[in-house]
Formats: sequence, C-alpha cells, structure tokens
Amino acid sequence: MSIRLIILLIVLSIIFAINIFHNIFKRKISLQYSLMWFVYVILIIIVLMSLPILNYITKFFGFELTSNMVFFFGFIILLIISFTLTKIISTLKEKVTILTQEVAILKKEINNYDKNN
Amino acid sequence: MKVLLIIPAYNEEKSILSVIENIKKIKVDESIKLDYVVINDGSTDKTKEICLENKLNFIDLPCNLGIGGAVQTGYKYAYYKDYDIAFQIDGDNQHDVSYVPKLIEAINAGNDLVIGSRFVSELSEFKSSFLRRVGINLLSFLIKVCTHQKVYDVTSGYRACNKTLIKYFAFNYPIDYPEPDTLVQVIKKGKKVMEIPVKMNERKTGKSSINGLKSIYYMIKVSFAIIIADISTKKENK
Repeated sequence: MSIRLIILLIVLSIIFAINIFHNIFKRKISLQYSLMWFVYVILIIIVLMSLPILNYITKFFGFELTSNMVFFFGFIILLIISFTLTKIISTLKEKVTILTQEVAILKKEINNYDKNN
Repeated sequence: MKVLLIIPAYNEEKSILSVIENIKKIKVDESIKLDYVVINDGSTDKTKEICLENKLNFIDLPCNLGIGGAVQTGYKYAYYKDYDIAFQIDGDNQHDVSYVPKLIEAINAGNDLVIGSRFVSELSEFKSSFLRRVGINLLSFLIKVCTHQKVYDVTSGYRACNKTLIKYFAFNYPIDYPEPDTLVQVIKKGKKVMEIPVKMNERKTGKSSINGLKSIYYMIKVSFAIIIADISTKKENK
C-alpha cells in the first residue's frame, strides 16, 4: 500500500473526525451516537498508521493487497454501525407509535372535557 | 357489559358513515352497552371532516401509523375506558356487522378471541380471489404447523376479544399486517380461539392494502412474522 494512499486516507479520516466534532458542538448529533463514528475514525487512523503490523495482518489473513484489508475492515465496521442504526430506528419508531396513540387519545379526552364545560 | 367496536379508517370518506349507520342498527340485549370508536389513521381525504360534521365518536391520529397502530389505539382506548369486549371492524363495509351479537355470545361462552370467518361455511358469497385464497390457505397451514390449531380465515380483520386480550393487545400489537401475527401469539399463550361464520361483502370503495407484487412481499413478511411469533411467544402459566 503506497504511502500516498495511506496519507490520503488519514487526511480524509481527520476531515471526517473534524466534521463529527463540529456536529457535536453544534448539538446536531447526540454524544451517545457520535461515539461509534468516532471509534470508527480512530480505528481507521490507527490501522493506517501502523504499516508493519498492517502488512503482517494482510499476509496472515491472506488478503491480496493491504488496501483491500483496510477497506474490508472499514466495511465490516460500517455494517455494524448501520445495523446499530436500524436498531435505534426500530426503538424510535415504537416510541413514536406509542406517543401518537397516547396523544390522539388525550386529544379526544380534552375535546370531550371542553364540550362538557 | 360494555362492548366497543373499533373501526380503523384510512381514507374511508365514502363508506365510513354507512358503516356507522349499520352499527346503529345492531340489536343487542339491554344488558349490553354497545359503543363504537372510529380511528382516523391520518387520512388524507375528508374522513376527519365527516367524523366532525356527523359528531361521530372518533380518535384522530396526528400521523399515519398503519393498520396495526390504528387498531392498537382502539385497544388502548378500550383498556383505559374499561371495556369488556373489543371488536375490530373494517371501515369499508366489508364486514357485515349484524353478526356482532353472535360474536359477543361466543366471547361470553368463554372464548378469548373470536374470528369472523369467510371460510367455515357457505354464508359468505364473497371469498376473495383465487390467488388470495391460495395465500390465505398457505398461511393457515403454516399456523397449523406452528400452533397445532386449524384456523381457516387467518387474515380476517373481523374479530372480537375479551378483557384479558384487550389489555394484552393494548401494549403488544404488531404494526404491519397484524392479524396472523397476533393470532399465533394468542394461541401460543394458550388462549381459546374460535371461528364463527360471517358474511363479508366485496369492497365497493377504496382499495385493498395488498396488491400485485406487494402480495408476494406480504406472504414472505407474514410467514416470517408467524414463525417469529411462534418462537418468541412463551406459553403463559395458568
């Protein structure tokens, strides 16, 4: 894996990390969910910076190219993250359903109350 | 005894009034207090206006939840208002409400869930299309394998349940295509389920929620839901 590619990936990762920080400070994403992205970026940077280990792991698992291995692990982590997101969405959907139902029933009760007074 | 008819309505402006009129014609014992509640599931047509104008008893969901979420709202309402029996009836006149007293009788006879069925007798001339019947038979077979109980009309949305199940449904109800799913859950819990022949009419207005390619997706999804319900529902200790 060429040094140039490694530097490119590291630079991209750092820009991404800055973007995450920016969003956290602007309170656009909650700290809870930013953490997994942050771990992702750090992992990628650590992997990229340790070239000898990188080459060793590549040979050990039998990847043709070091870059393949980096992308492979990036892909796996992304899979985990998107699955986590699906889980979060499912919980949110359930909560929204419950809230919608309760609000609708409450709305009805308030209307009835207004009519009776 | 208080009985509630839950009528989920999504864009049913053409039929909702006649459904309510038919409900008012139902003759029941004096000991039974029969109420209805329309659940307007975020309709985009005039369903809400019609409910308001005609002073129908209705709950207006602020956004569309899908049939399961709408029906569950009804069960929650029934639970909070302490109803003894809750019915689920479509808002498009497919279900002939004159069978309501028969279903009430069946609940009072000790059944937990009573399903109004198209297939257990020749009463209903409308039995839906051939392909749909094949699908329903397949699901029925799958449920038989899972629960060892034969139910014919597994997708029927014409059903009544008692107080125990009102409470259960109020807090556990699937959002998509809930009928077969809940059926398996209820049987697995060791509740008594009974089918009663009813007449169903072909829908005159509105569209079925299941069409074309969607039906294959529906079959896969529902089969999946049945198997999951089968595995994850634990039998209740009596």
